[in-house]
Amino acid sequence: MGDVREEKRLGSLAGRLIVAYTLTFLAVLALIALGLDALLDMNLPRQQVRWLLAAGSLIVALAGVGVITLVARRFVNPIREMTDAASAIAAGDFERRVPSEGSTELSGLGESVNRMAHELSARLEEAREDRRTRELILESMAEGVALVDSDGAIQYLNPTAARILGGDKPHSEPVVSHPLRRLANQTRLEGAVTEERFEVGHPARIIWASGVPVGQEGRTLIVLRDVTDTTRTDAIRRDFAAAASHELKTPVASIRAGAETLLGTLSDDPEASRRFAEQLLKDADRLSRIVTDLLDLSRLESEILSMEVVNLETLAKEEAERIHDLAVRAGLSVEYRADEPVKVRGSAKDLSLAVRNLLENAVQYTRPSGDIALTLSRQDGGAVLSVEDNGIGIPSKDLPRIFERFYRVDPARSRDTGGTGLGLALVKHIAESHGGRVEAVSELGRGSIFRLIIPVAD
Amino acid sequence: MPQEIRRHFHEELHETEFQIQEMGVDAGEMVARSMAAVESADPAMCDEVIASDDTIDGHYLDIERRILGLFALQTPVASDLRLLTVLLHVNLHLERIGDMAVNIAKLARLAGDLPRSPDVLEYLNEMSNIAVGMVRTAMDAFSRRDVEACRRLPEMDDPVDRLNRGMLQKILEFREDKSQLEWAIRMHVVSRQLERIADHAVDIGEQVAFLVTGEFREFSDASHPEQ
Repeated sequence: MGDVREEKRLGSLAGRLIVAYTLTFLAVLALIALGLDALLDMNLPRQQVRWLLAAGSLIVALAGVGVITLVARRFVNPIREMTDAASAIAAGDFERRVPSEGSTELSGLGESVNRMAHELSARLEEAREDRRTRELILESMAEGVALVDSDGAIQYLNPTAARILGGDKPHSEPVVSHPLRRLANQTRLEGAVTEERFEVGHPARIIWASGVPVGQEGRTLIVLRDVTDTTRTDAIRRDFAAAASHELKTPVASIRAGAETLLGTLSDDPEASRRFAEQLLKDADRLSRIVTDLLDLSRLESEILSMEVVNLETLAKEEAERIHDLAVRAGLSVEYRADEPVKVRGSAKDLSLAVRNLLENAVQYTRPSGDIALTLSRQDGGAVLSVEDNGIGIPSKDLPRIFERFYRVDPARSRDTGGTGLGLALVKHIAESHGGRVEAVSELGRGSIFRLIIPVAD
Repeated sequence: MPQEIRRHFHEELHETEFQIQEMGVDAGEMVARSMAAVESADPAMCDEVIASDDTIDGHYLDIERRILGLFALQTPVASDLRLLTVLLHVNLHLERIGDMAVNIAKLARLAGDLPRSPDVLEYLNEMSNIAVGMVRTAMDAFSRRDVEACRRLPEMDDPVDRLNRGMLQKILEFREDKSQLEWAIRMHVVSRQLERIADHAVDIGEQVAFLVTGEFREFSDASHPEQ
C-alpha cells in the first residue's frame, strides 16, 4: 500500500545532484574561461592581472558555494521532515505519516516508513482489543480473581475480588492481605490446589477461596467467592427444620401426656385432675396459636393481595388503643404520633396484624416503667410505621436472624411467655407482600426500633 | 549496592506488616476463646488461652526487634517512617489486647463453677462479639489503608461503653441474692477488660488513619465524654 502522488515525482535524487553539481561546475569553468579571455584581450600590467584574477576567483567561488548551498538545503529539508515524522511514529503517534513525495529514493523510504507505521498501528490495535476482551471477562466475572506473587504481594485483583475483600477503593500501594497470603503460602507448600474459608469485615462475611500454583516464579492464582448467603441459607433451613419439628411436637407430646395422666387421676384426685386439665388447655391453645400463625404465613405466600385503600393513620391509632391496656398492665407507656395522613394499597387486616405483632413484642421485651412509641411518617415516597422501645434490646449476632421462622434470641424466655416464634416472620411477609420491607435496629440494654416501610398509594 | 539495601528494606517492611496481620488474627481469636472460657467455665479452656499468650508475646518481641532493625538499617523516608511508627504502636496495642484476653481467662478460672446469671453473660457475649469485630475491622482497615473504615470504629465502641456502664447496675441487682454476687463481681472486671480491648481497637484505627492522612487525631477524647 503506498500512495503515489504523481504530480510531485521528480526523478532520482542522485540524478538531480549530479546534474546540479555538473551545471555548477560547468558554469564556474565557463566564467573562468570568459574572464581569462577578457583579461588576455585587455593586455594589462602583471599586478593588475593578478588582482583581477583573485577578485574574479573569489566572486566565482562565492557564487558556486551559494548555488551548492541552495541545492543542499533542498536536499536536506525533505530528509529532515522525514526524520521528524519517523521520530513522532517512534514516540507513539501511529497515525502520523511521512510525506512520500520528492525524489525516488526519498519517496521510496517514505513509503516504507509509512507501511511500517501502519503495521505497528494495526498490531497495537489487535493487542489492545485482546487485552480489552480479557479485561472484560475478568471484570464481569461473579467470582473474584487474584494473582499473588511468591512474597504474598498482590499483582492483580479483579473488581469482584477487590469488593469481596472489602472496600471498593482503588489502591495506590500493594495491599497486604493476610488471608490471601496465607492461602498462597499453603498452595505453594503443597504444590497443588488448596481451599480455605475465612471471614472478613464486620458484620462478618464468609469467603471461600481456592488457590492454584501458576507459572515458574512461585505465583498463585486465587479464586474468591462470597458464600455468606448460601451458608446462611443452609443454616436457616437446618435450623427451621429442627425448630419447627420441636415447636410442633412439644405441645402435642405434652397434650398427649396430660390426657393420659388425666385419665389416670380422674376418679381418685379431682385437684390433680383440674391441674392437668388446665395444663392440657394451655398446651392446646399454644398449639392452636402456632397453627394459626403457620396458616397465616401460608396464606400470605399463596394469596393475591387485596388492593383496597388503607388509611394507615386510623389503622395505627386503632392498634395503639388496642395494646394500651396490656401495656399499662405491664407498667409501660404507649405513645402514638402521626406526622401526616398516609394511605397505602393492600390488606387492612394484614397490616393491622403486622403492627399488632410489633407492638406485642415491644410490650413483651420492655421492662416495667419503660416506654413504647408508635409513629407514622412519610419518607422518600414510602409510609413508615415505626415501633420504638427502650427495652432489653437484641444482641448483634442475633439481629440479622430475627425475622427467620421460629428463630429465638432466648428460647427459654420467649417460649414461657407463650410466643410462637413466628411473629416477626409474619411481619416480614406482610411487609414484602405489600411491596415494602421491615427493618430492625437495636442495641443490647438500650432498646429497639422496628420500621415497617410500605410504598404509598398515589 | 544501595539499590539492594533499599529492596531488602522494603521486603523486611512488608514481612513485618504481614506478621502484624497474623498477630491481629491471633489476638482476635484469643479474645473470642477467652469469652468462650468464661461461658463454659471449663478450666482446660482457660488454661489454653493463658498459654497462648506466649505466642502473642513471641510475635510482639520479634516484630519489635524487626522494627528497631529497620529504623537502624536505613534512614526511612517520610511514608516508610510513618509506617514503621504505626507498626510499632499497633504491635503494642495487639500485645495489650492479648494480655487482656489472658486476664479474662484468669478471671474465668477464678470464677470457676459459681452460679451465674444468663443476663450478665448475654451482656458480656455482646461486648465480646463487638470487640472481636472491632479488632478485625481495624486490622482490615490497616491492610486496605481505609480511613473510612477507621472512622466507623468509635461508633462501634459506643455500645461497648454503654454496656460496660450498665454492668454496674446489673451487678447491684445481686445485692440481695448473694449466691451470684461473687461471680458477678468478677464479671464486672471482665467487662472492664472487654471495654479496654475495644478502646485498643479504636486506637489501632487512629494509627491507621494517621498512616493514611499524615495527621494524628484522636477519634474520641476520654476527657470529654459524651453525655
